[in-house]
Amino acid sequence: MSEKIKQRNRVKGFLLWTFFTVALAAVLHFVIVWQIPSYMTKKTVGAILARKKTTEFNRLFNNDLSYAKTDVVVMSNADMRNSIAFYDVSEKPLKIHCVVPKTDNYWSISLYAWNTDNFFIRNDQNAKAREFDLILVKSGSNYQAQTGEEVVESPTNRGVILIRYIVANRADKEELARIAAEQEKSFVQPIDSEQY
Amino acid sequence: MRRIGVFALKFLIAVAVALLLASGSVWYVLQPTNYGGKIRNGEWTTDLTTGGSNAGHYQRAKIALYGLWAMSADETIYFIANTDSSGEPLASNCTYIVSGSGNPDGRWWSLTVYKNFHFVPNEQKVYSYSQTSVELEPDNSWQVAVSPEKQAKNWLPTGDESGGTAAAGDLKLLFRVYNPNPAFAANVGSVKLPTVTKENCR
Repeated sequence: MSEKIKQRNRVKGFLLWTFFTVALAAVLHFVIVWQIPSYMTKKTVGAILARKKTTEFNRLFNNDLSYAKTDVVVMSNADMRNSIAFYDVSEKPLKIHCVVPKTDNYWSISLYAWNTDNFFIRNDQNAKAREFDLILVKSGSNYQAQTGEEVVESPTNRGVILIRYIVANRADKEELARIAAEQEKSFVQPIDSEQY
Repeated sequence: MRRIGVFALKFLIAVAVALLLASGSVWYVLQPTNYGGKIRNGEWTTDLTTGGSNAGHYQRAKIALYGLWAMSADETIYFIANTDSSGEPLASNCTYIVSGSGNPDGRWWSLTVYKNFHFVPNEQKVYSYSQTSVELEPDNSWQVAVSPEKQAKNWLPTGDESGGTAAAGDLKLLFRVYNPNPAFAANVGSVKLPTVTKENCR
């Protein structure tokens, strides 16, 4: 083989490897960016459950105000108490019983897919009643809704339920106690369903 | 046999270089200093796809890293300030006056300060002021002092009890507007927002 052909093959080989490296880097770049939301959800859910000393999904935890020393979530809201649950609807639907507090403060329930998308939200002003139930089901479920039930389909089997109770003044202990009492009224409960 | 060894070595080098390139480029595009939004209004930026399923992969990743479980824009609009009104990065050793006149066209607002995306530890346990907790001036305007030094009223402390160091760009202000009215949401690039003015630095 002449030196010229050998040189050409070396250049060709270098270009092929370069193309392969750049293409692989582009694919890996996209995969990392795509996976970050799920990774962060998993990491934060793990940190919160570890603090609660449990691994339990489908259970609503009522939280106090956030403080610098207890703050787990990035850029969390200093002006709210919240109730949080991590759900898994792969086996059973989940009933979410919501009670809107009797205050003028903002209240809402938000549902987040495992990739952090906020796929459902209801607040105190657009809730049809002060007490209502949501039935959270997996995507493509055959769940038959009962009268009065609002069925919400989750894009992912696992996700996050976040109920926000805005506090008008976080220094007002009476207000905090009232909101804490309101938080006790909401709950989540897996339900048995023959068709799921 | 030697050719297989050379091929395997080249393959491993290519994968290692690709991993470096991928993680480096992800690190670059998701830098915390780039966190905010595409829509600018003075020192504030926002992104109306935040929290929504219409958010692009990069915005979703940024939200997961720096603003996990944000609500969609119909419910709350998040305005982030990384700089003061002159464009200088916010730093925890400086005093800033955040001034607002009246309330934005929405249901409720709050202003929170973060250092490296978390609350700044302080004895008073004060991390924010809101429409219902801020002390108003006689003309219904308000001023919040973001400062490591004690202030007479509406003080958001940025002094770090743990003795952390200050660095340009370590502070962020987040202005949340809950249940924005449609006209406000449609004009987030031009609506009237508070101003962030630097007074002095330590």
